[in-house]
Amino acid sequence: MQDLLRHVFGWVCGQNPAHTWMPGGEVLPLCQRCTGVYAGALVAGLLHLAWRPVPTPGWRWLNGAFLLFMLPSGLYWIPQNPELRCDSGILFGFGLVAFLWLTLPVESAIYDLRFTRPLEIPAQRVNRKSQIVNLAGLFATLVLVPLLAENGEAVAAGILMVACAGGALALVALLLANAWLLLRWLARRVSARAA
Amino acid sequence: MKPNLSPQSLLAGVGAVSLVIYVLACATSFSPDDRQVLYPTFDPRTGASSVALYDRQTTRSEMLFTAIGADAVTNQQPVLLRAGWLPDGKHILIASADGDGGLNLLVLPRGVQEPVRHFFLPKPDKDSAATSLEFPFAVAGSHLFLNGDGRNPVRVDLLTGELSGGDKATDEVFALPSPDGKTILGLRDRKTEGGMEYGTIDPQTVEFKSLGQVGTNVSDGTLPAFNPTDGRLMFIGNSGEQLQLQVRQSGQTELTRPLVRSGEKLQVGPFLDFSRDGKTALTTYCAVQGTNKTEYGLLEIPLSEAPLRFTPLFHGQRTENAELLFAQPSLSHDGNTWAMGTAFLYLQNETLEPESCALFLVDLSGPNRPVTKVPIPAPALRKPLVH
Repeated sequence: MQDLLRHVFGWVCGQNPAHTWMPGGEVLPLCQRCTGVYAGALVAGLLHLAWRPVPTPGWRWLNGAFLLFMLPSGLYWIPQNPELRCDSGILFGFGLVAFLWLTLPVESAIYDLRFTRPLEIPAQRVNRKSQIVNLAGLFATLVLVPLLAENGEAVAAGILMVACAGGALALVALLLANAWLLLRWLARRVSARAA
Repeated sequence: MKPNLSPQSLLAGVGAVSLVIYVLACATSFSPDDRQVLYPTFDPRTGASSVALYDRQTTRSEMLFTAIGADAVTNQQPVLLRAGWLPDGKHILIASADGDGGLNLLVLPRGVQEPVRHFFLPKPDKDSAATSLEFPFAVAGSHLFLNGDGRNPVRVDLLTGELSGGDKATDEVFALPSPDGKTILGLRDRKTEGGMEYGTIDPQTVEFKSLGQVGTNVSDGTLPAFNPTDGRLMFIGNSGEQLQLQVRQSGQTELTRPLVRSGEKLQVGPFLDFSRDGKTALTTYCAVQGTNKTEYGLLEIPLSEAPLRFTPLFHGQRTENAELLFAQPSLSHDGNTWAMGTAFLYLQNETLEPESCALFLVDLSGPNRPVTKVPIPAPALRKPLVH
């Protein structure tokens, strides 16, 4: 399983040994930044599924800033250490999921998992709770992933590998969903023009 | 379900493009040694053994490292160096022999902001042989596998300097790299039965897993090459005085073809490379022509009935030992360029003229074989290497 993950992630990650965690002696199949991206994408995907925030302009700007933060971080314009590399990846993963989820219809969130049913309280309040849960999830991920990775137990490596694999699957699913929506939109435009 | 395509779709597109850019930036899309080639050279001011980096786009060389070895008379004693890229393509490993049998390892970051790492490995005991630097690095991840008598192989963690292996369980297994840059090939002499056992070494446990055996006809001083993707092993063998290339797969001989050139005595090897399509073997050759002339170059051996292809690179005087072990050839990752640096070959082989001291790059991509020669300044005083 480890070899398979290492092989698959080798296509998308440089796997720089100097920037790779080894919890309990197990070498992760991703560098620290990519570990953050995919673990962050998994957590963000789960949060969007259960507590999808309404994409207000402020929410979009915030996630846009998460994406842009990769620029100074990835290009080493700011000092880096393993935790900062990972956290810049987590922010990027959250931003990616938020942006890729924008086109999905409202039915793609499980609203019953909100604190209460959306019709019983004002929508603005529901959205505020979703945003709070998402931000709390983000802060928890920013703290827990580096802690887990720097843990001396091999089980931490297993958890992170599963999380990264899940995050990668979530991103692939979001990309496919967006590609499907784009194709459907193009097909409708072509048929409308033909009519 | 009505899809919302604007402006959400634009932002989703931004997200998708960001992901693609990130992946392209993080993944090693091509190894730098396809554009830049590391080669041994000499410091033009002192004549000391050095490592340089040749950029094929700018056609310029950059001196990376010089090993100053003090000598009572000349102030310089050339030492054997080997340089190679680590699999991540972002670090260069330079190993240099220490005069007392120890080994210096230097990990130089390229394009990443990290400190240079230096490790020193002392000789384990006075009876042990020094670590063999004549052979290419066997690296898996951050682990380097070194060969030296009595501790074969010893594994060095290039991040922490931790040493492991080299005990009775792994004793006398010779570690070599494989074309995939991940698998470590292991070779072990079969002392009682004769011949050689080959297999892989687990990078984590340093355990040897046997995959098969070859007979006693492996030519002395040559090294087999192993392709982990199809399990083929090839080596230079002897049939009487005749050299031949043998390819084995699943314990069976798949191909045997003689290596001859009309009227000339050939020396080939010791290093073999599979071409990227797996259809050709590449190695160095030295052909004795007439009574006092030799020709050195690249030999391409098709793993079929097609004729051998010789690409001459330089000439020397006749010698019984061409010292091809010191030629340090290499095949680029895209398989389009074969390189040979002759700095150490020039030191060891006194029949060679200073003009033969160069980095030679042979373009394999087309039907012809154009050669680029990057001259190396030969030292004024030729002394044998410390290794």
